[in-house]
Amino acid sequence: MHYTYIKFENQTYGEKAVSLLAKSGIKANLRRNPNPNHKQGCNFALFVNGNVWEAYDIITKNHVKNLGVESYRERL
Amino acid sequence: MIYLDNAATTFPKPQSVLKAVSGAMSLYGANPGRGGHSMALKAGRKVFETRSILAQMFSCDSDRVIFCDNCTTALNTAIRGSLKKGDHVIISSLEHNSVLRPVHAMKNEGLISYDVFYVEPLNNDKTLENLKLLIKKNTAAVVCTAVSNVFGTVLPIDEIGSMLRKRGIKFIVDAAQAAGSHRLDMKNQSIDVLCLPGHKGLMGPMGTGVLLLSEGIELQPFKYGGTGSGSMSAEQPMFYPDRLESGTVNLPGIAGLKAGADFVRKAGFESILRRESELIRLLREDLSVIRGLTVYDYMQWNADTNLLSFNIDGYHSEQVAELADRWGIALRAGYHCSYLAHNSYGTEKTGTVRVSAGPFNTKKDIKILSFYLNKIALRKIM
Repeated sequence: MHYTYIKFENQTYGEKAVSLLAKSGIKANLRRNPNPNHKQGCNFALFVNGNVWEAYDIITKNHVKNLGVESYRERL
Repeated sequence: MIYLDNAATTFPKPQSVLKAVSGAMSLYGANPGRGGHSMALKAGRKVFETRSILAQMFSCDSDRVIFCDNCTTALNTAIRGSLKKGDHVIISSLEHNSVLRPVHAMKNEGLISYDVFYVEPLNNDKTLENLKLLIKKNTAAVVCTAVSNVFGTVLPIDEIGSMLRKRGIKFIVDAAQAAGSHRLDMKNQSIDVLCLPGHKGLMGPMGTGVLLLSEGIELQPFKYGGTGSGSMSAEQPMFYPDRLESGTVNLPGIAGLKAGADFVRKAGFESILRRESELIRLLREDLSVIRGLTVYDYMQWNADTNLLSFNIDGYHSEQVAELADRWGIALRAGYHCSYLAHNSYGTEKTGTVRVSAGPFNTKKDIKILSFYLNKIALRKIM
Protein backbone atom coordinates (compact mmCIF):
# COMPACT_ATOMS: atom_id res chain seq x y z
CA MET A 1 0.00 0.00 0.00
CA HIS A 2 1.30 3.44 -0.93
CA TYR A 3 0.65 6.41 1.39
CA THR A 4 1.15 10.15 0.98
CA TYR A 5 0.93 12.42 3.98
CA ILE A 6 1.91 15.84 5.32
CA LYS A 7 4.57 15.76 7.99
CA PHE A 8 4.68 17.92 11.17
CA GLU A 9 7.30 18.34 13.82
CA ASN A 10 4.80 18.04 16.65
CA GLN A 11 1.17 17.26 17.38
CA THR A 12 0.39 20.95 17.98
CA TYR A 13 1.05 21.85 14.32
CA GLY A 14 -0.72 18.71 13.14
CA GLU A 15 -3.86 19.47 15.17
CA LYS A 16 -3.77 23.04 13.94
CA ALA A 17 -3.79 21.70 10.37
CA VAL A 18 -6.66 19.30 11.17
CA SER A 19 -8.89 22.09 12.48
CA LEU A 20 -7.94 24.40 9.61
CA LEU A 21 -8.76 21.75 7.00
CA ALA A 22 -12.03 20.94 8.76
CA LYS A 23 -13.10 24.54 8.13
CA SER A 24 -12.58 23.87 4.41
CA GLY A 25 -14.58 20.65 4.63
CA ILE A 26 -11.51 18.41 4.33
CA LYS A 27 -11.27 15.49 6.72
CA ALA A 28 -7.83 14.40 7.83
CA ASN A 29 -6.43 11.92 10.30
CA LEU A 30 -3.38 12.79 12.40
CA ARG A 31 -1.10 9.92 13.39
CA ARG A 32 2.37 9.38 14.59
CA ASN A 33 4.62 9.28 11.51
CA PRO A 34 4.87 5.57 10.62
CA ASN A 35 8.04 6.09 8.63
CA PRO A 36 10.20 8.64 10.48
CA ASN A 37 13.49 9.87 9.20
CA HIS A 38 16.12 8.84 11.76
CA LYS A 39 17.80 12.24 11.52
CA GLN A 40 14.61 14.14 12.37
CA GLY A 41 13.42 11.76 15.05
CA CYS A 42 9.78 11.52 16.11
CA ASN A 43 7.13 13.49 14.27
CA PHE A 44 3.51 13.37 13.11
CA ALA A 45 1.83 12.56 9.84
CA LEU A 46 -1.46 13.90 8.52
CA PHE A 47 -3.37 11.55 6.23
CA VAL A 48 -5.85 13.50 4.13
CA ASN A 49 -9.18 12.14 2.90
CA GLY A 50 -8.93 13.69 -0.53
CA ASN A 51 -6.33 15.62 -2.44
CA VAL A 52 -3.22 15.90 -0.26
CA TRP A 53 -1.80 18.73 -2.38
CA GLU A 54 -4.93 20.81 -2.00
CA ALA A 55 -4.68 20.30 1.76
CA TYR A 56 -0.99 21.13 1.71
CA ASP A 57 -1.74 24.34 -0.16
CA ILE A 58 -4.30 25.43 2.46
CA ILE A 59 -1.93 24.61 5.29
CA THR A 60 1.06 26.48 3.87
CA LYS A 61 -1.06 29.49 2.84
CA ASN A 62 -2.18 29.72 6.48
CA HIS A 63 1.40 29.50 7.74
CA VAL A 64 1.01 26.25 9.66
CA LYS A 65 4.55 24.97 10.16
CA ASN A 66 5.16 21.63 8.45
CA LEU A 67 7.90 19.41 7.11
CA GLY A 68 6.39 18.92 3.66
CA VAL A 69 4.66 16.06 1.88
CA GLU A 70 6.11 12.59 2.03
CA SER A 71 5.22 9.18 0.69
CA TYR A 72 6.00 5.66 1.78
CA ARG A 73 5.13 2.13 0.80
CA GLU A 74 3.84 -0.10 3.57
CA ARG A 75 5.73 -3.37 3.84
CA LEU A 76 3.44 -6.32 4.38
CA MET B 1 -16.92 28.48 54.90
CA ILE B 2 -17.38 31.84 53.17
CA TYR B 3 -14.42 31.90 50.82
CA LEU B 4 -13.17 35.41 50.00
CA ASP B 5 -9.57 34.60 49.08
CA ASN B 6 -10.12 34.22 45.36
CA ALA B 7 -7.07 36.31 44.50
CA ALA B 8 -4.91 33.50 45.93
CA THR B 9 -6.86 30.85 44.05
CA THR B 10 -10.50 30.68 43.09
CA PHE B 11 -12.70 28.36 45.09
CA PRO B 12 -14.90 26.50 44.51
CA LYS B 13 -14.14 25.47 40.95
CA PRO B 14 -16.99 24.87 38.52
CA GLN B 15 -18.18 21.26 38.42
CA SER B 16 -17.09 21.07 34.77
CA VAL B 17 -13.48 21.63 35.89
CA LEU B 18 -13.62 18.78 38.41
CA LYS B 19 -15.13 16.53 35.76
CA ALA B 20 -12.49 17.49 33.18
CA VAL B 21 -9.60 16.81 35.59
CA SER B 22 -11.05 13.49 36.61
CA GLY B 23 -11.78 12.55 32.98
CA ALA B 24 -8.23 13.32 31.90
CA MET B 25 -6.90 11.01 34.61
CA SER B 26 -9.38 8.20 34.26
CA LEU B 27 -10.32 8.14 30.58
CA TYR B 28 -7.34 9.27 28.52
CA GLY B 29 -4.44 9.78 30.92
CA ALA B 30 -1.67 9.12 28.40
CA ASN B 31 1.34 11.34 27.75
CA PRO B 32 0.21 14.06 25.31
CA GLY B 33 2.23 14.77 22.16
CA ARG B 34 4.45 11.76 22.59
CA GLY B 35 3.02 8.34 21.69
CA GLY B 36 1.05 7.39 18.61
CA HIS B 37 -1.68 5.31 20.26
CA SER B 38 -5.18 6.68 20.33
CA MET B 39 -5.13 7.66 24.02
CA ALA B 40 -1.93 9.69 23.60
CA LEU B 41 -3.39 11.39 20.52
CA LYS B 42 -6.58 12.20 22.42
CA ALA B 43 -4.55 13.66 25.26
CA GLY B 44 -2.52 15.75 22.78
CA ARG B 45 -5.72 16.95 21.14
CA LYS B 46 -7.06 18.16 24.49
CA VAL B 47 -3.84 20.11 25.08
CA PHE B 48 -4.15 21.65 21.61
CA GLU B 49 -7.80 22.60 22.19
CA THR B 50 -6.77 24.37 25.39
CA ARG B 51 -4.01 26.25 23.55
CA SER B 52 -6.52 27.32 20.92
CA ILE B 53 -9.03 28.65 23.43
CA LEU B 54 -6.37 30.63 25.29
CA ALA B 55 -4.97 31.96 22.00
CA GLN B 56 -8.43 33.23 21.07
CA MET B 57 -9.05 34.73 24.51
CA PHE B 58 -5.81 36.70 24.57
CA SER B 59 -5.18 37.29 20.84
CA CYS B 60 -2.08 35.35 19.95
CA ASP B 61 -1.10 32.35 17.85
CA SER B 62 -1.86 28.95 19.40
CA ASP B 63 1.75 27.81 18.72
CA ARG B 64 2.85 30.56 21.08
CA VAL B 65 0.79 29.44 24.05
CA ILE B 66 3.21 27.71 26.42
CA PHE B 67 2.06 25.67 29.41
CA CYS B 68 3.98 26.12 32.65
CA ASP B 69 3.38 24.97 36.20
CA ASN B 70 2.28 28.41 37.39
CA CYS B 71 2.44 32.12 36.64
CA THR B 72 5.75 32.44 38.51
CA THR B 73 7.43 29.98 36.14
CA ALA B 74 5.94 31.86 33.19
CA LEU B 75 7.35 35.15 34.55
CA ASN B 76 10.77 33.65 35.25
CA THR B 77 10.88 32.24 31.72
CA ALA B 78 9.82 35.58 30.27
CA ILE B 79 12.30 37.62 32.32
CA ARG B 80 15.31 35.29 32.11
CA GLY B 81 14.57 34.41 28.52
CA SER B 82 14.32 37.91 27.17
CA LEU B 83 17.16 39.74 28.92
CA LYS B 84 20.86 39.69 28.23
CA LYS B 85 23.89 41.04 30.03
CA GLY B 86 23.91 44.82 30.24
CA ASP B 87 20.16 45.25 29.80
CA HIS B 88 18.10 47.63 31.90
CA VAL B 89 14.60 46.70 33.09
CA ILE B 90 11.80 48.73 34.63
CA ILE B 91 9.15 47.25 36.90
CA SER B 92 6.22 48.88 38.70
CA SER B 93 5.94 49.72 42.38
CA LEU B 94 3.07 47.25 42.74
CA GLU B 95 4.89 44.13 41.62
CA HIS B 96 4.53 40.75 43.20
CA ASN B 97 7.75 39.04 44.30
CA SER B 98 7.43 36.77 41.27
CA VAL B 99 8.51 39.77 39.18
CA LEU B 100 10.74 41.56 41.69
CA ARG B 101 12.79 38.52 42.74
CA PRO B 102 13.85 37.22 39.32
CA VAL B 103 14.79 40.76 38.28
CA HIS B 104 16.61 41.40 41.55
CA ALA B 105 18.44 38.06 41.30
CA MET B 106 19.66 38.93 37.80
CA LYS B 107 20.90 42.23 39.14
CA ASN B 108 22.76 40.42 41.95
CA GLU B 109 24.33 38.15 39.35
CA GLY B 110 25.73 41.25 37.66
CA LEU B 111 23.66 40.70 34.53
CA ILE B 112 21.19 43.57 34.47
CA SER B 113 20.15 46.76 36.24
CA TYR B 114 16.59 47.73 37.12
CA ASP B 115 14.44 50.62 38.27
CA VAL B 116 10.98 50.82 39.81
CA PHE B 117 8.33 53.27 38.54
CA TYR B 118 5.82 54.52 41.06
CA VAL B 119 2.17 53.80 40.30
CA GLU B 120 0.31 56.98 41.26
CA PRO B 121 -3.04 56.26 42.89
CA LEU B 122 -5.87 57.60 40.73
CA ASN B 123 -3.54 59.21 38.18
CA ASN B 124 -2.66 57.17 35.11
CA ASP B 125 -1.01 60.09 33.32
CA LYS B 126 1.41 60.63 36.18
CA THR B 127 2.09 56.88 36.36
CA LEU B 128 2.98 56.89 32.67
CA GLU B 129 5.17 59.94 33.17
CA ASN B 130 6.98 58.23 36.06
CA LEU B 131 7.71 55.28 33.79
CA LYS B 132 8.90 57.41 30.87
CA LEU B 133 11.40 59.24 33.10
CA LEU B 134 13.18 55.95 33.87
CA ILE B 135 13.67 54.79 30.29
CA LYS B 136 17.33 54.58 29.30
CA LYS B 137 19.13 53.74 26.07
CA ASN B 138 19.64 50.15 27.24
CA THR B 139 16.11 49.62 28.60
CA ALA B 140 15.15 46.28 27.09
CA ALA B 141 11.89 45.53 28.87
CA VAL B 142 9.19 46.78 31.19
CA VAL B 143 7.58 44.17 33.40
CA CYS B 144 4.40 45.11 35.19
CA THR B 145 1.27 43.71 36.66
CA ALA B 146 -2.09 44.43 35.06
CA VAL B 147 -3.87 44.53 38.43
CA SER B 148 -2.24 44.82 41.86
CA ASN B 149 -2.73 41.68 43.93
CA VAL B 150 -2.76 43.77 47.11
CA PHE B 151 -4.83 46.87 46.34
CA GLY B 152 -6.72 45.91 43.18
CA THR B 153 -5.25 48.91 41.37
CA VAL B 154 -5.64 48.54 37.61
CA LEU B 155 -2.56 49.74 35.72
CA PRO B 156 -2.90 51.66 32.42
CA ILE B 157 -1.81 48.70 30.28
CA ASP B 158 -3.07 50.16 26.97
CA GLU B 159 -1.13 53.39 27.41
CA ILE B 160 2.03 51.69 28.64
CA GLY B 161 1.91 49.15 25.80
CA SER B 162 1.43 51.75 23.13
CA MET B 163 4.24 53.95 24.51
CA LEU B 164 6.68 51.01 24.71
CA ARG B 165 5.84 49.69 21.24
CA LYS B 166 6.80 53.07 19.75
CA ARG B 167 10.15 52.88 21.52
CA GLY B 168 10.81 49.22 20.68
CA ILE B 169 10.88 48.16 24.34
CA LYS B 170 9.53 44.73 25.24
CA PHE B 171 6.36 44.72 27.36
CA ILE B 172 5.93 41.78 29.73
CA VAL B 173 2.63 41.71 31.63
CA ASP B 174 1.89 39.77 34.80
CA ALA B 175 -1.79 38.97 34.48
CA ALA B 176 -2.03 36.94 37.70
CA GLN B 177 -4.98 38.97 39.00
CA ALA B 178 -6.36 40.07 35.65
CA ALA B 179 -6.72 36.95 33.53
CA GLY B 180 -10.32 35.83 33.41
CA SER B 181 -11.77 39.07 34.70
CA HIS B 182 -10.11 42.02 32.94
CA ARG B 183 -9.70 42.69 29.24
CA LEU B 184 -6.35 41.44 27.98
CA ASP B 185 -5.70 41.61 24.26
CA MET B 186 -2.08 41.10 23.29
CA LYS B 187 -2.51 42.59 19.81
CA ASN B 188 -4.54 45.66 20.71
CA GLN B 189 -2.72 46.40 23.95
CA SER B 190 0.78 45.91 22.46
CA ILE B 191 1.66 43.20 24.98
CA ASP B 192 4.71 41.19 23.92
CA VAL B 193 4.66 38.56 26.64
CA LEU B 194 1.68 37.71 28.83
CA CYS B 195 2.05 35.52 31.92
CA LEU B 196 -0.93 34.12 33.73
CA PRO B 197 -2.03 31.48 36.22
CA GLY B 198 -4.64 28.92 35.27
CA HIS B 199 -6.04 28.53 38.77
CA LYS B 200 -7.23 32.04 39.56
CA GLY B 201 -9.62 33.96 37.29
CA LEU B 202 -9.50 31.25 34.65
CA MET B 203 -10.97 28.82 37.20
CA GLY B 204 -8.59 25.93 36.40
CA PRO B 205 -6.72 23.72 38.86
CA MET B 206 -3.52 24.67 40.68
CA GLY B 207 -0.31 23.66 38.95
CA THR B 208 -1.28 25.41 35.74
CA GLY B 209 0.29 28.55 34.34
CA VAL B 210 0.53 29.95 30.83
CA LEU B 211 3.09 32.00 28.94
CA LEU B 212 1.85 33.68 25.76
CA LEU B 213 4.15 35.25 23.20
CA SER B 214 3.40 37.75 20.46
CA GLU B 215 4.62 37.11 16.94
CA GLY B 216 8.31 37.89 16.59
CA ILE B 217 9.14 37.58 20.28
CA GLU B 218 11.92 35.08 20.90
CA LEU B 219 12.78 33.77 24.37
CA GLN B 220 15.74 31.67 25.39
CA PRO B 221 14.60 28.45 27.08
CA PHE B 222 14.61 28.33 30.86
CA LYS B 223 14.72 24.54 30.87
CA TYR B 224 15.83 21.98 28.33
CA GLY B 225 14.72 18.41 27.68
CA GLY B 226 12.33 16.10 25.91
CA THR B 227 9.62 17.65 23.78
CA GLY B 228 8.43 14.71 21.68
CA SER B 229 9.95 16.43 18.64
CA GLY B 230 13.34 16.48 16.92
CA SER B 231 14.27 13.59 19.20
CA MET B 232 17.44 12.59 17.37
CA SER B 233 19.14 15.92 17.97
CA ALA B 234 21.01 17.15 21.03
CA GLU B 235 19.76 20.66 20.30
CA GLN B 236 16.61 22.04 21.91
CA PRO B 237 13.96 22.67 19.21
CA MET B 238 13.79 26.35 18.31
CA PHE B 239 10.11 26.31 17.35
CA TYR B 240 7.21 26.99 19.72
CA PRO B 241 5.71 25.72 21.93
CA ASP B 242 8.38 22.97 22.10
CA ARG B 243 11.23 25.42 22.61
CA LEU B 244 9.87 26.41 26.03
CA GLU B 245 7.86 23.34 26.97
CA SER B 246 10.27 20.54 27.84
CA GLY B 247 8.99 17.61 29.87
CA THR B 248 5.54 16.11 30.23
CA VAL B 249 2.85 18.75 30.58
CA ASN B 250 0.17 18.64 33.25
CA LEU B 251 -2.61 17.00 31.24
CA PRO B 252 -5.24 16.84 34.03
CA GLY B 253 -4.49 20.44 34.91
CA ILE B 254 -4.66 21.59 31.30
CA ALA B 255 -7.93 19.72 30.74
CA GLY B 256 -9.28 21.43 33.85
CA LEU B 257 -7.98 24.77 32.63
CA LYS B 258 -9.85 24.31 29.35
CA ALA B 259 -13.06 23.67 31.27
CA GLY B 260 -12.34 26.73 33.43
CA ALA B 261 -11.65 28.92 30.40
CA ASP B 262 -14.86 27.63 28.78
CA PHE B 263 -16.74 28.59 31.96
CA VAL B 264 -15.30 32.12 31.82
CA ARG B 265 -16.03 32.50 28.12
CA LYS B 266 -19.59 31.33 28.57
CA ALA B 267 -20.21 33.64 31.52
CA GLY B 268 -18.26 36.49 29.87
CA PHE B 269 -15.29 37.99 31.69
CA GLU B 270 -16.95 41.43 31.66
CA SER B 271 -20.00 40.14 33.47
CA ILE B 272 -17.85 38.18 35.95
CA LEU B 273 -15.90 41.34 36.77
CA ARG B 274 -19.06 43.46 36.92
CA ARG B 275 -20.62 41.05 39.41
CA GLU B 276 -17.49 40.77 41.55
CA SER B 277 -17.00 44.55 41.47
CA GLU B 278 -20.54 45.08 42.70
CA LEU B 279 -19.76 42.90 45.71
CA ILE B 280 -16.57 44.83 46.41
CA ARG B 281 -18.44 48.16 46.09
CA LEU B 282 -21.05 46.90 48.51
CA LEU B 283 -18.30 45.95 50.93
CA ARG B 284 -16.63 49.35 50.56
CA GLU B 285 -19.90 51.04 51.44
CA ASP B 286 -20.35 48.85 54.50
CA LEU B 287 -16.75 49.30 55.65
CA SER B 288 -16.80 53.07 55.15
CA VAL B 289 -19.02 53.49 58.22
CA ILE B 290 -16.98 51.27 60.55
CA ARG B 291 -14.94 53.43 62.89
CA GLY B 292 -11.28 52.47 63.12
CA LEU B 293 -11.33 50.56 59.84
CA THR B 294 -9.24 51.92 56.96
CA VAL B 295 -9.91 50.85 53.39
CA TYR B 296 -6.95 51.41 51.09
CA ASP B 297 -8.75 53.22 48.33
CA TYR B 298 -6.34 53.51 45.47
CA MET B 299 -9.05 53.15 42.89
CA GLN B 300 -11.88 55.33 41.69
CA TRP B 301 -15.05 54.58 43.63
CA ASN B 302 -16.76 53.28 40.50
CA ALA B 303 -13.76 51.41 39.11
CA ASP B 304 -14.15 47.73 38.39
CA THR B 305 -12.00 45.70 40.72
CA ASN B 306 -12.61 42.42 42.45
CA LEU B 307 -10.45 42.87 45.53
CA LEU B 308 -9.96 45.29 48.38
CA SER B 309 -7.47 45.73 51.22
CA PHE B 310 -8.11 47.16 54.67
CA ASN B 311 -6.84 47.30 58.24
CA ILE B 312 -8.48 47.76 61.61
CA ASP B 313 -6.83 50.01 64.18
CA GLY B 314 -5.07 48.15 66.96
CA TYR B 315 -4.88 44.85 65.08
CA HIS B 316 -2.27 43.29 62.91
CA SER B 317 -3.85 42.14 59.66
CA GLU B 318 -3.10 38.52 60.59
CA GLN B 319 -5.14 38.86 63.78
CA VAL B 320 -8.17 40.10 61.86
CA ALA B 321 -7.96 37.20 59.40
CA GLU B 322 -7.61 34.74 62.27
CA LEU B 323 -10.71 36.14 63.98
CA ALA B 324 -12.63 36.01 60.70
CA ASP B 325 -11.59 32.39 60.25
CA ARG B 326 -13.15 31.52 63.60
CA TRP B 327 -16.43 32.68 62.12
CA GLY B 328 -15.94 30.65 58.97
CA ILE B 329 -14.71 33.42 56.70
CA ALA B 330 -11.53 32.94 54.64
CA LEU B 331 -9.58 36.16 54.11
CA ARG B 332 -5.93 36.67 53.22
CA ALA B 333 -3.76 38.74 55.54
CA GLY B 334 -0.12 39.75 55.68
CA TYR B 335 2.06 40.94 52.85
CA HIS B 336 0.68 38.96 49.89
CA CYS B 337 4.21 38.28 48.58
CA SER B 338 4.46 41.91 47.55
CA TYR B 339 7.23 43.76 49.34
CA LEU B 340 7.11 46.58 46.79
CA ALA B 341 3.37 47.24 47.01
CA HIS B 342 3.35 47.52 50.81
CA ASN B 343 6.39 49.77 50.82
CA SER B 344 4.84 51.96 48.13
CA TYR B 345 1.58 52.60 49.90
CA GLY B 346 2.85 52.59 53.49
CA THR B 347 1.36 49.34 54.77
CA GLU B 348 4.66 47.61 55.45
CA LYS B 349 4.18 47.51 59.24
CA THR B 350 0.93 45.60 59.46
CA GLY B 351 0.37 44.30 55.97
CA THR B 352 -3.29 44.38 54.98
CA VAL B 353 -6.36 42.18 55.13
CA ARG B 354 -7.44 41.37 51.60
CA VAL B 355 -10.94 40.46 50.50
CA SER B 356 -11.18 39.05 47.00
CA ALA B 357 -14.46 38.07 45.43
CA GLY B 358 -15.03 35.19 43.05
CA PRO B 359 -17.79 34.16 40.67
CA PHE B 360 -19.61 32.16 43.34
CA ASN B 361 -19.72 34.80 46.09
CA THR B 362 -23.01 36.46 46.98
CA LYS B 363 -24.21 39.68 48.61
CA LYS B 364 -25.04 37.61 51.66
CA ASP B 365 -21.36 36.63 51.98
CA ILE B 366 -20.42 40.31 51.98
CA LYS B 367 -23.09 41.25 54.51
CA ILE B 368 -21.94 38.50 56.89
CA LEU B 369 -18.33 39.67 56.50
CA SER B 370 -19.27 43.30 57.19
CA PHE B 371 -21.20 42.25 60.27
CA TYR B 372 -18.20 40.45 61.78
CA LEU B 373 -15.69 43.12 60.80
CA ASN B 374 -17.85 45.66 62.60
CA LYS B 375 -17.80 43.45 65.69
CA ILE B 376 -14.02 43.08 65.49
CA ALA B 377 -13.59 46.86 65.16
CA LEU B 378 -15.84 47.38 68.20
CA ARG B 379 -13.73 44.82 70.11
CA LYS B 380 -16.77 42.60 70.49
CA ILE B 381 -14.84 39.61 69.18
CA MET B 382 -11.48 38.86 70.78
